[in-house]
Amino acid sequence: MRLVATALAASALRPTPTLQPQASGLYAHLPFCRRRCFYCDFPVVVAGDAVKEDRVAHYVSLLERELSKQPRSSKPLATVYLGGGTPSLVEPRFIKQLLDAIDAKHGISSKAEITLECDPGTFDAAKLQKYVDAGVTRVSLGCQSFDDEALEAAGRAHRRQDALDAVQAVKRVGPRHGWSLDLISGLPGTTPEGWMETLHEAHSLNPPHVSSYDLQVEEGTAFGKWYSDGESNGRPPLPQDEESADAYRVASSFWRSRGYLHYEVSSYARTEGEKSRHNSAYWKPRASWLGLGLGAASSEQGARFSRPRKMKDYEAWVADGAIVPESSPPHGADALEDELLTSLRTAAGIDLTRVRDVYSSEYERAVRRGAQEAIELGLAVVEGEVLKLTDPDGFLFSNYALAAVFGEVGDVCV
Amino acid sequence: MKRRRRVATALLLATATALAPPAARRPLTRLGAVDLEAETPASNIRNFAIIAHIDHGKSTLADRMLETTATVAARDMQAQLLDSMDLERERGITIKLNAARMAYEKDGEPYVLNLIDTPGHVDFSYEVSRSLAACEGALLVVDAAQGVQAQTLANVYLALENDLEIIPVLNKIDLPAAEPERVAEEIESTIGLDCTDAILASAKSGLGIGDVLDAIVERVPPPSDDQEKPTRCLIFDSKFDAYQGVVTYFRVVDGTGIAKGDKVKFLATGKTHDITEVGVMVPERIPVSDRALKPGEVGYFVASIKSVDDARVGDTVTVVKSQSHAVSTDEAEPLPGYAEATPMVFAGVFPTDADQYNALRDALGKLKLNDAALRYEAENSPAMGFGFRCGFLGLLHMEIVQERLEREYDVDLIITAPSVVYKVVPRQKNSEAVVEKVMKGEALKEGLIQEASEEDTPTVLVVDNPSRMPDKDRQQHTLEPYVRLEVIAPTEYTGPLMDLANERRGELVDMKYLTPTRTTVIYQMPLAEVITDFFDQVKSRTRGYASMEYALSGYRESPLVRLDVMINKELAAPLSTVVHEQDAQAAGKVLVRKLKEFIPRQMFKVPIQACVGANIVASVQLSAMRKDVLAKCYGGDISRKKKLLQKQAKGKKRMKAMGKVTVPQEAFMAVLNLRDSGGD
Ligand SMILES: Nc1nc2c(ncn2[C@@H]2O[C@H](COP(=O)(O)OP(=O)(O)OP(=O)(O)O)[C@@H](O)[C@H]2O)c(=O)[nH]1
Ligand code: SF4
Ligand SMILES: [Mg+2]
Repeated sequence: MRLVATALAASALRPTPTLQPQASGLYAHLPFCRRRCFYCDFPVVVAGDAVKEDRVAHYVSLLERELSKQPRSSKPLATVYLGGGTPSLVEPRFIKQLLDAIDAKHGISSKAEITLECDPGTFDAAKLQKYVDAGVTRVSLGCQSFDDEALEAAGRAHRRQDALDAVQAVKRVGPRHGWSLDLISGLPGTTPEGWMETLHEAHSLNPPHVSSYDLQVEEGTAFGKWYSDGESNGRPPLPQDEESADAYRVASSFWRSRGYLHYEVSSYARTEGEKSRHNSAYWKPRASWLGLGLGAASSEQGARFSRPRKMKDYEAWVADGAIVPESSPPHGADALEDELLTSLRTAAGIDLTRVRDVYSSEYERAVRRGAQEAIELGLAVVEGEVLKLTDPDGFLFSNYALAAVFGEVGDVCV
Repeated sequence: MKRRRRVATALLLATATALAPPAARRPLTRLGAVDLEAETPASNIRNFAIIAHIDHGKSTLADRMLETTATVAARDMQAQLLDSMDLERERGITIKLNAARMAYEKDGEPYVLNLIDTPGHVDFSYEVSRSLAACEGALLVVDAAQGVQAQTLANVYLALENDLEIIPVLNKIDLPAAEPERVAEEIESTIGLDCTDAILASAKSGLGIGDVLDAIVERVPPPSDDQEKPTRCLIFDSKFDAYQGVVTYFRVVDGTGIAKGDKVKFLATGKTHDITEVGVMVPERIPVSDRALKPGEVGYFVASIKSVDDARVGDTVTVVKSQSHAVSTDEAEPLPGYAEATPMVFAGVFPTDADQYNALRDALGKLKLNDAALRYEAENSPAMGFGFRCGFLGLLHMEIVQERLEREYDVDLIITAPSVVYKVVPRQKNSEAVVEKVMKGEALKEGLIQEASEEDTPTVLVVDNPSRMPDKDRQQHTLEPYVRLEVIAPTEYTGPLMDLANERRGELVDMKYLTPTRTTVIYQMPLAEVITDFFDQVKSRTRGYASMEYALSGYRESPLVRLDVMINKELAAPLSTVVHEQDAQAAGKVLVRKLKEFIPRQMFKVPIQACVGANIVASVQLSAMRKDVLAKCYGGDISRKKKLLQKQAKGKKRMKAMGKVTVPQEAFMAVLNLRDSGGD
């Protein structure tokens, strides 16, 4: 019985053979930053306060070349996300050039959500207006904190006043799809009181959307070097796990009690319509989106590809024809793990009937087994047939819960 | 100058490639090779082993001899060719003995030289004794820069016990730091071996290899050749081959020899087998078809034997029936053989995944086929599930078995900390006398369960698992194994070495100057103290200039107690350990501190305690985990996060649940060194 079911499921899942990408979204990476923040491990090109025009021009031409090699999308794009790096360091005319090129290639729907990541201190209202004129409809604003000491300790190039000015500029221009305020909790030097203040200050700005990340100390970053031995070595100390866990809980409670929807581990929206459409696509099973530029990831029905993260390698890759190696979408445990990983990050959770139908009842049982401990610990619930992590504890221990489910899913023999 | 010519006879290329064992490395093409079908009189055979301290160049010297005698063609040569196991090659050490037959011509006379390369590491000295029993001579290789080291001495004594002709070879004279004259004097003064004819060599550059070969012919006595006696062969090794079954490696000692088609009898088991193939190692196995291997010859046979237990190392094989040659009808006496390898340390070996128990049992069975020293018996515990208690020769042996099980048989393991074998005698009538006997190593009634018997002699309880150590309040004598430990080091380090030995309950027996600048210290020390990080400490306190050797010397009575660990108020039996009563508290403190480091934080607070009986001697609290989340998945790039989670899921698998707490592998090893060395 099971065999039949799996075979059926597998054939149902095989991608319809088409050369045209199914994507409705596109992520483009603009790597230039004024300096590298101490926690950052993104593919970044440090450019100082002013980016040299010719460098940008050269990079944008690379993007255009990559674009020219891509197969045309089957339908116009519903979302475009210009991330970085600090895209707002790039002159508006280049953004226009890029968006025009994307439009020419794939078509951008007239109602599309086009997000530009902006960092305080790199733009004013006039510049932002030009971005909007170029097509940008939404701004993601990297404020991170309103505490100057924390900003300094994190190596950020901007200060509190820059962030406030930036918000005013955004409000004056008023991009059509609103804006998001990005925060980081658990930065060195922050205290519970400081975090509370940051939240209040953020709320007073009435953001349509908030992304609130818990700081991750990554290997290879300055923080990774300084704090890996558990000592602060004379620098502002990293908050204890207890404190940053509390910061996360506090944020969740803070925003939810003010009516915000905590729809994903790190994302809050003021209303349903103000969720990030682009990011939401990432959390859908077998998602497809296009990628463009240094280090950008793309996915074709779950078959992901990451572009080179080093500029030299990326240039060479483009020169060699920007070939995205063909790979079939993941299947079996591999695909289910992707799905678990993305779905369980969202408040919507994962539908277990879908797991049974698409994968097999054996996989469904494995997921339930794996989730058992988390359910007992109050980290997860099954509502109807939907498995969800609880907010905030389930989200806070999402790795713990997921690892247990992965353990069971990985053990299913097919 | 002596004239030397290689024996170049029939090319055995065809046979070599056709019959090379499939699993072995690529077949070697041979330029000049021995005519294996030609008989060599015993007077022209020389059997010798190469012995030395670890890394002094035995295997490299063997390489050069194989090359010089054209046993192996230059283009097939690779460094330490005889070290054929993957692990040996990776680690650059010899683990198992390896034999090779070479042809050599001296003064117009053809000779057959059988060489056995041996390991230098102390864990495998058993392999050395086996090798020596099959030889009349030994090359004693000494690194001319390092001089006499601990295993040099130990191996020389083994060779002397076996009455072998020892030829000193001062190796590595190419090194700028080489001081052959000084080292020669050192050998003379420490071992009393005449070094006037010591050979200066560089196994690396090939210097002196001809002299070594000549010396073997001239100085190693030929094997005796008593064809009147019944045929007796000494088994010095046996291996399981997936295609041929058990392959038995032997040395013909006397009689008319052994040939294909013979019916042979193993004296230890009394079983008989028909030989389907007889051959020699050159170094891969090549069958000889038409003749018997004669006294003095070294070779192998295949006789469709299923289990290596039926072809035990040290057993004697005799021919009971033959179509090809005369067979003495006399009853053959078994050869002296050698003592069984006794495991010195024991540890629990458990599959991380209960489903892998059968796979682990099969794997151990297969490993055991080629590793006579490995012991195992089923063990199960509530915490660890089903697994095995295994006995090893030492820590390196244990590490190697673990690695082979995981790599070659693909079972993931959790191994508990190694422990020595304690003995416990209940205090009762005559118990003092029994303790005396245990200390002298006399055979006694031993059991695994302690019973205060009504009889005159109490049963000796053998404890190879610390959790089985009876409670301290029981009326009993506790005994632990001691070793005679010898450390050789430059004189300036004697002070720090003695400090270290004292910390480890060592008792100084002797101190000697090997040379004006080098000293040897000899201690009696509990084995339990040696199988920790002792050697690492020795090395660090002597800047790596010391070498060490130890051998079991017997049992001594010590006030020992069992130190238990409670995790979350539940006894974690696999973490129990036996310590000296005086050390219990300090050891407990270190143990709980280490466990706290190794045990990942759980979703709840976890007390970790060390106890002796009902007494809590140390305790710490593991605070609850506060978060476990990867907040950001940038640009939809989940690949990295997925890998992390898969790793985490796997890591969880590698832990054992003690009650509600999961304990990782490292924690089981935490008991290995419970001394507060401050800086660790
Ligand atoms: N310079 C120099 N190095 C040598 C010489 N002989 C061996 N070596 C090196 O010494 C190291 C150890 O050599 P091996 O032949 O593996 O030593 P071994 O005695 O067989 O070692 P075990 O089997 O582990 O006891 C290797 O790196 C060799 O290359 C020599 O004559 N001169
Ligand atoms: S601004 Fe953003 S992308 Fe640039 S270095 Fe800082 S964190 Fe990284
Ligand atoms: Mg060797």
